[in-house]
Amino acid sequence: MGRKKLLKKLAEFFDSDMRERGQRDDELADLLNRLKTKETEMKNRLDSISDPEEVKDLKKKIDIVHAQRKKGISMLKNVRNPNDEKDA
Amino acid sequence: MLRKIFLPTIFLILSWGFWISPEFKVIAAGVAIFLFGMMSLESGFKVFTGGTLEKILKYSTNRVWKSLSFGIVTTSVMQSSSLISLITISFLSAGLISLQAGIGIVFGANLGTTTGAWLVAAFGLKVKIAEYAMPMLVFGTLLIFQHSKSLKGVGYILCGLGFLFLGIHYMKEGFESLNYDLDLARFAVTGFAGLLLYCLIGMLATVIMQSSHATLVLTLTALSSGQIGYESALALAIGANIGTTITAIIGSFSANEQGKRLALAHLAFNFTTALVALVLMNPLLSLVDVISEGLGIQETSYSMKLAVFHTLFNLLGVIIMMPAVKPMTQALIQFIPDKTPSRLQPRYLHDSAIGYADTATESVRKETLHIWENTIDLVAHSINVPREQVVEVNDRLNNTIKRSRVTDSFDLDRFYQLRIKSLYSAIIGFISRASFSWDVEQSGEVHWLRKANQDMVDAIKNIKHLRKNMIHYTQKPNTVIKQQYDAIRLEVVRVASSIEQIRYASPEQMPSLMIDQIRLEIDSKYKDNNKSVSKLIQDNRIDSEMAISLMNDLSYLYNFSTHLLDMAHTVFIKHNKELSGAEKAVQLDEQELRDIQDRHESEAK
Repeated sequence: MGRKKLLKKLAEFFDSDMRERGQRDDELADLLNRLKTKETEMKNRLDSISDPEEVKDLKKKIDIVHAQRKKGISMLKNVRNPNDEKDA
Repeated sequence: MLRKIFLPTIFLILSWGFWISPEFKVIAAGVAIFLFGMMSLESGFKVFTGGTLEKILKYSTNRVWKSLSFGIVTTSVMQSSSLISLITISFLSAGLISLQAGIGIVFGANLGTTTGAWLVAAFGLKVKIAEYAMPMLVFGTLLIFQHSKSLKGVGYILCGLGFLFLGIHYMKEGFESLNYDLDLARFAVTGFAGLLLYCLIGMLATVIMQSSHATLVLTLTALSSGQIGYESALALAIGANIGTTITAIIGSFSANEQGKRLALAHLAFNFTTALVALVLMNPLLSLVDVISEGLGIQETSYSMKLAVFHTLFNLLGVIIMMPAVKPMTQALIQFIPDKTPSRLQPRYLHDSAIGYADTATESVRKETLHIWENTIDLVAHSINVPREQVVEVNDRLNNTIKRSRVTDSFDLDRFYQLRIKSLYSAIIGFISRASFSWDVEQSGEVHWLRKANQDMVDAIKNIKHLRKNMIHYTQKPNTVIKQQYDAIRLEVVRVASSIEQIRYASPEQMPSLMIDQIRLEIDSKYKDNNKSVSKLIQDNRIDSEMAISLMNDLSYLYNFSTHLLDMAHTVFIKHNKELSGAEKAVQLDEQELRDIQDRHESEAK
C-alpha cells in the first residue's frame, strides 16, 4: 500500500467523520462510474432504434440517468470539499 | 396437570427442608440469590444487545469456526450459555443466520460456559467473596436508578455480579455449617451406578434451577467443603451439561422448524459429550491429573481439577462433533422438515423472534413480503390475468387481456379479509408485543415497514374501486371503452411486474435508480391517458358518462401505482442493506423528475 493511502487509512481510523466521508467518496465514485457506463450504453442504443415511441422512452431514461449523475457529481464535490459547503 | 402440581410440590419440599435444616435454608437462599444475579446480568447485557451483538453475530458466523469462536467468547463474557442459546434460536427463527452457524455457536457456548467454573474455583472459593459483592451491589443499585439506558445496563450487570458473588458466599457458608451436623459424603454411592445417579441429580438440579452455572457452583462449593466426593462432583457436572439443553428445548417451542432443529442439535451434542465422558471417565481423570500438574494445580485442589475436567470433556465434545456439523445439519432438516407455508397464517412472526429488536424487525420485513405475495394474487384475480403473467410480462399478455373479461366471480373483500388484513393485524399485534425498547434506527425501520403495509392496503382499495367499472365496461359491446379498460389492466400488470423486477434486481442493476424511471413513466402515462380521454370525448367515441368513469379510474390507477411504488421503495430499497448509501442518495426527488417530464413535454410540442 502506498504511503499516501496508508496515511489516509490511519487518519480515517482515528477520525470517524473522515472515515464516513472516505466511505461516501468511494461509494459515490463507484456509482458515478457505473452511471456513466449505463448512460453511454443507452446513447449507443438510440441509433439502432427506429420506433418513435421507443426512442422517446429511451431518451427519458437517458435524461434520468444524466440527472442522477449530475446529482452524484455535486454530492461528490461536497464530500471532497466540505469547507466550500460551509462557506457557501 | 403436571405443571399445576410442580410448583406447589417444590414449595412443599423447600419448606420442609427449611424447617428441618437451617443450613439448607442458607444454601437454598444462596442458590436463589445466585439465580437472581444471573437474571440481573442477562437484563444488563440485553440493554447492550439492541444492535451491536446482533450486527456482530450476523457478520461473524459465515464459517463454522467463526461461529464456534463467537459462541466461546460471548458466553465467557456473559457467563450464560442459556442467553446465547436463546439469542441464537431467535436469529435462526428470523432467518438471519444459518442452521450450521447456529450449531457452531451452541457448540462454542458449551465451551465458553466452562470459564465460569474456573472463575469460581480459582477466585470465588479462595477469597472473602462477599466483601467484593457489597460495593458492587451498592454502586450497581445507584446506577440502576439513573435515566441513561447504558448506565442502567451497567448497573444491572454490577448488581448481577454482586448477587452472583453473594450467592456463592451463602452457598459456601451453608455447606461449611452443614459439615458440623451432617456428612453427606457418607451417603455417597460409588462405582458406575454412583456416577449415573449423580449425573441424573445434576441433570434434575439444572432443569429445576434452569441454570447449569448454578448447579456447577453448588457442586464446587459442596466439593470444597467436603460434602461430596471428587468423582461425584464430576458426575454432577456431566449431568448439568445435559440439563442445560432443556432451556434451549423450551425456547424452541415458540420457534419455527429451524429453532427446533437447533434445540435438537444442542441436545445431541450435550448427550454425546456426556456419554463419552462417562465411558472414558478413567482416561479423562488421568489426563486431568497430567494437565493439573502442568498448570501447577495441587493434587488435592479438587475444585480446580473439576474446572479442568469440565473444560476438557466439553473440548472433547467439540472435537468429536465439529466434523459432524454438516451431516448433522442435513439429517436435522430431513428429520424436522419445513411445514408447507400457508398463505392465510403469518409465516415469520414467531414468539422466539420477538425478544430482540433485530430479529423482530427482520420478522416484520419478511411478513411484509408475505403480504406482498398475497397482494400480487389479489391483483391477478381482480383483473383476471394469471399470476405468472402478472409477475413476468411476456408476449402472450396482450392476447390474454384482449380475450378475457373481468367478472364479479372473484370475492375481493373476502380475499382481502383472509389474506391481507389478517396478516397486517398480526404484524401490528407482533410489534406491540415487543417488550424491549427499540433503538432509533430499528423503530424507524419498523415504522416504515408498517407504512409499507398500509401502502399495500391503500393500493388494494384503489383496485377495488377500479374493478367496479372494469367489470361493467369489459363486458360492453363498445370496443373503444373495452380497449381503454384493457389498457388499464395492462398498466396494472406493468406496475406489479416492475416492482417484482426491483425486488429481484441485483445491486449492479441499481434498483433504487430503476424506481426513478418507473415514477416518471407512471406520471407520463397518467398525463397521456387523460389527454387520450379528452380526445375520445371530442371524437364522440365515448359518451360523457364513460369519460367520467375513465377519468376517475385513471386516478385510481395512478394512486394504486404510486402506493405500490412507495411500498417497493421502503421494502426493497430504503432498508436494503446491500445497496450503498450513495445509490439511495442520488435518487431524484419529485421536483427533479417533474423538470425532466416538463422538458420532454415542451420538446414534444
